[in-house]
Amino acid sequence: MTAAGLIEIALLVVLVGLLTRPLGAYLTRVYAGESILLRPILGPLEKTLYRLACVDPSAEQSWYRYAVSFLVFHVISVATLYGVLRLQPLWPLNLQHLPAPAADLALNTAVSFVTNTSWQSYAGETTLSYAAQMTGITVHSFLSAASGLAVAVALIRGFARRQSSAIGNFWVDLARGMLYVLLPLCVVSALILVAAGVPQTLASSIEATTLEGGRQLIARGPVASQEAIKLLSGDGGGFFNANSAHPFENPTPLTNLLEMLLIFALGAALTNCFGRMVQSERHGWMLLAVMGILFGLGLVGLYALEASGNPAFTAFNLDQMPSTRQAGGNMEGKEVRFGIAASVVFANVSTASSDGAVNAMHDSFLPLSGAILLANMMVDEVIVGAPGSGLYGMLLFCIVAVFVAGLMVGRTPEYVGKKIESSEVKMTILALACVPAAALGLSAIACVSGPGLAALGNAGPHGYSEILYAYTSAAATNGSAFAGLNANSPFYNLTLALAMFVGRFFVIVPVLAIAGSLARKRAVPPSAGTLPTDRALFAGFLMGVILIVGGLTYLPALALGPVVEHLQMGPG
Amino acid sequence: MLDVIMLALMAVFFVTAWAFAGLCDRLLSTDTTGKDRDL
Repeated sequence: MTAAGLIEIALLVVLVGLLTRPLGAYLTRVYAGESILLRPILGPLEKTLYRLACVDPSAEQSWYRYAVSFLVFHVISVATLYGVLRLQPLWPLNLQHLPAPAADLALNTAVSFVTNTSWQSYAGETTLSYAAQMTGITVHSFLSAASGLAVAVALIRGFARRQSSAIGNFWVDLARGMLYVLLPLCVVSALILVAAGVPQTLASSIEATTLEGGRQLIARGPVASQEAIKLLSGDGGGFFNANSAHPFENPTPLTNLLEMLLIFALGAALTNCFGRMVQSERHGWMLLAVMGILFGLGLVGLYALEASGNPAFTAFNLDQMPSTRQAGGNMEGKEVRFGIAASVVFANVSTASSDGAVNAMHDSFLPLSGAILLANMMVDEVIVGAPGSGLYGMLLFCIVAVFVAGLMVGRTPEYVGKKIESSEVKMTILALACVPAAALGLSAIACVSGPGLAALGNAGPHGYSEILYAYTSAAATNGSAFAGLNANSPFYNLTLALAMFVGRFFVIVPVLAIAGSLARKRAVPPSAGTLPTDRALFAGFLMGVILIVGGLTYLPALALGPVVEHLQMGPG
Repeated sequence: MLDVIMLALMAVFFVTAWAFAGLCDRLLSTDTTGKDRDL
C-alpha cells in the first residue's frame, strides 16, 4: 500500500460524505415537488412532457398502477432501443458504415441498457454508430437511471406515508429525475470531462501513423456526454470496448476520482433523502454507515491482495514490492497510469455500486480479489448501489433484519414506524430470491451446455468463475465483465438478457408491492419494545444479515471458482 | 424472421413480469396473516 493510494481512497470517502447531505436535500425537494432553482427553467419542459404523454401530474397511483406504468414504459423502451440498433444502417452519423448488430445481440443490448445493467457483448467503437450511441445507449442510460430513482422514491413514500393508497405517480417521478437530477449533473460532469481531455465530437476517427510506420485508426466521438451519464446512472456502458481503462474515457487520475465520485454520488445521497422523507436523518446515516463499512471491508481485502502481488511468483523469488522502478503488486490487467490503488478502488466502487464501469481487467485480478468483486455483486448491490437500486436493495435487507430480530424477541417487527408483517416479508424474500435464482441457475446451465462451455477463454475454476461472474453481473444489473468469456453468441446473449430481465423487473415489482402495502398502514409510535433501528447495534445486525444471506446463498458457488483457483496457486 | 422471434421473446418477458405483478397484488390482497397482531 502506498501513501498516494491511501490519500486517493480518503479523498473519495470525504467527497462522497460531503456531497451526501446537500444532494440528499436536493433530491427530497425535487421528488416532493417543492421549489428548486431549476424549476423556473425546466418547469415548462416538464409540463410539456406531461401534456404530450397525456399525464395528469396531480393524479397519484396505487402500487399496482405504478408497477404497470413502469412495465409499460420499459416495453416501449426495449422495443425502441431494439429498433434503433437493428435499423442502424438507416440512421445518419454512421461514419464507418457499420452494419446492424445481429438480432440476439440487439436484444441483449436493448434489455441491458433498459434494465440499467449495461452488459456489453459488443465493442462500442466497432459496432455502434454515433447515432446509435447517442439516441440508443445514452438516452436509455438516462431513462433507466431515472426509473430506478423513481422506484426508490416510491418505496421511501411507502415508509413515509400514513394510511395512503398511493405511492406517487411514476411518470412524474420519471420526468423529475430526468430533468432536475440527471440532466443538470450530467451537463456539468460532461463539461468537466471535456476540459480534462475526453473527446466530444461528431467527427470521424483519425488515421495515425505509428512509430513503426503502420496505419492506425484512432476512434473518437461523442464520448464525454455518454461518459457522464454512464457513471452517474450506475449504468457503466462505455463508448469504447476498454471502458474507463481507455484514455479517451478516463484520461487522468483526476477524472478517475471524478468518475468514482459520480458513480457513488446519487446512491449515497438517496440514503439522506430516505432519512429526510421518513423524518429521521439518523436512519439515512445508519444505512450509509453500513454501506461504508461493507465497502471498506471489500476495499481493504482487494488492496491488500493486489498490492502484495501474485503468490504464484513467490517460488521464483521475484521482487513484487513497490519502488521507484515499479508499481509493485499484481499489475497484470491494470493501467500503469492508475496503478494498484486507483484500479482496486475503481473495481470496488464499480462492483459495489452496480455501475459496472471498469478501469482494469477484473479477469486479471487475483482469485480472491475476484471473489470480493463477485461478493460485492452477490449481496444485491446494496453497497451504495446504482441510483435507486442500492437503496431499495438495502431497505429489503432492513426488512429481513427487523423480521429476524422480531422473531428473536417475539414481537411484531417495526421499521421507521411501520409494522413489518407477513406480506412485506413474503415480497422481500421473493425479491431477494430472484437474483440468486437467475444467477446460479443460468450459471449451472451454462456450465453443462455445449454453447456455454464453447465461449470460455480458460478451463478449470477460472473458466467457471468467468461464467459465474457473467450471470451474477447480469442478474445483479451490474454489467461489468470478467473478460475471458466470448459472450457474443446467441446462447449467452439470450440467457444473459433473461438474467438481466429477472434481476431488474422481478425485484422491482415486489419492491413496489411492499411500498404499496406499507403506505396503507398507520404509523406505530415507538414503545419500550421497539427495536431502535438507527443505532450501531442494528447496523451491526443488518451487516450480519446481509453477509449471512449473501454467504449462505453464494458461498458454495464461490468455493468452486475463486477459492479453488486460489488454493491451486499455492506451493505445490 | 429473427426480429419477430426476438420481439416475441420480449413480449413473453414482459407478460411474465406483468403476471408476476398480478400475483404479488393477489398475495397482498388475500394475505391477512398476522395483521396488526404481534407475532
